[in-house]
Order: sequence, then structure tokens, then C-alpha cells
Amino acid sequence: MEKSLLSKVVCLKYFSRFAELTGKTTEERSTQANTVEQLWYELQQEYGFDQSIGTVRPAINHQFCDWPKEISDRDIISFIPPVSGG
Amino acid sequence: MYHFDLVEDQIDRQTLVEKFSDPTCGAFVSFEGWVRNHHQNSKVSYLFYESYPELAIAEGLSVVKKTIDDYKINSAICIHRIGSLQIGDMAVWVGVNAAHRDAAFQACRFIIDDIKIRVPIWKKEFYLDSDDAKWIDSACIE
Repeated sequence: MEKSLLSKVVCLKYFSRFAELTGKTTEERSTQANTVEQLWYELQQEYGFDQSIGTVRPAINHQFCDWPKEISDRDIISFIPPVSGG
Repeated sequence: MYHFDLVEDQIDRQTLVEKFSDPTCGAFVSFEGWVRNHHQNSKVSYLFYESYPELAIAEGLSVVKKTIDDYKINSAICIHRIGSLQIGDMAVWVGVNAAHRDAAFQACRFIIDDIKIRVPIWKKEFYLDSDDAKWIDSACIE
């Protein structure tokens, strides 16, 4: 899917290593990405996320989602690095 | 009854155990995860647990509910602590009761195993002999 010409504003939430790499826990961001997968690659390029996409799970509005999930304006989006509770 | 929660204070096991009083149950099994002083030849000084609360609680509840549905148990509770934990502190508590012990043992094991791979909680290790604290991946946890 091509990137949209229209920008959306999304709220990003960063945790653990991604919070450290970005230096922030939240970010309001304007993006032309249509899907969470496109947004992931956009962020990976900007911040140098060291995780491969296969080890990360995306979430929109506090629910896990699939990588092709389309982004809507004002979505709350997070990329979940490998978990390690317990 | 099923329940999952995140807490910042010490986990109160006695209060939790009392919730499982049930005359129809002949078995109660619990698991406690404690902070260990070593990991893969490194001396651990303390741990820091971070979570994504909204998603962690939803996923944790899903794990516990699925266990109730899939095993012949009456009740299940899992409590996970977040924040800074010292050596010996309890990081996670799981309790299950059932009419018989087999189901209780199996369900308790299933809950802790699934919590460790599904719920958005992250553990950072701090070491006695190094300043290089490290986020831990579930893939490298025993």
C-alpha cells in the first residue's frame, strides 16, 4: 500500500528499550503512513530501533493488532518489544 | 472468580489466599516468582519492571479467563508487581483452586507461562559488577 498524501496525527506510546531509544514515553506525530507496518519502518529509520519486525507486536488504542491494520487520525499506537514479565 | 492486576506495593499473599476459601475445592495451588540474585553468570542487584497498564491488564485478564474456560478449575488470580524490586521480593503471584489437584497444578503452570510470553511487562536487570543495565527478552529467560 502506498503512503497517503494526507497526513494523520497519531499518539505514540513508547515502552522499555523503545522509550530509551526515542528518549520519550509519548509522542504526538504527523505521519503519511497508512498502516502500522509503514509507521514502524518510518520510526525504525528515524530512531534506529534495533528489533526486527518479527519480534515486535503492534497495538492500536490499547489492543494488539495486525501489521496491515490501517491507521486513523488520533489513534493511540504502540510497538510492543519482546515482553519479560514474571 | 478470575482476576489479574498490576500493583506497585508488596504483594500480600495472605489476603489473596483467603479469597480462595471454597468448600467445593479440594485443591489450591499457588506460584510465586521472586527476584533472584543472578542471571546467566551476572550478579543482579535489583530489577525494574515496566508495563503498558491498559494492555497488560486486558491481556492478563484474557489469560486468566482462558484458563478458567479450558481447565476444570473454580477460580484463578494473578497479580504482577511493577516498579523497582529488590532481591527476594515477590514479582508475581498466581493462585488457582479446583475440585482436584491435577487441574489446579496444570492451570497454575499455564497461567504463569502464558503471562510471561503475552503480557506487556518488561524487566530491566541492574548488576552489581556492571553499569550496563539490560532489558530482558522472554526468549532468554529460563
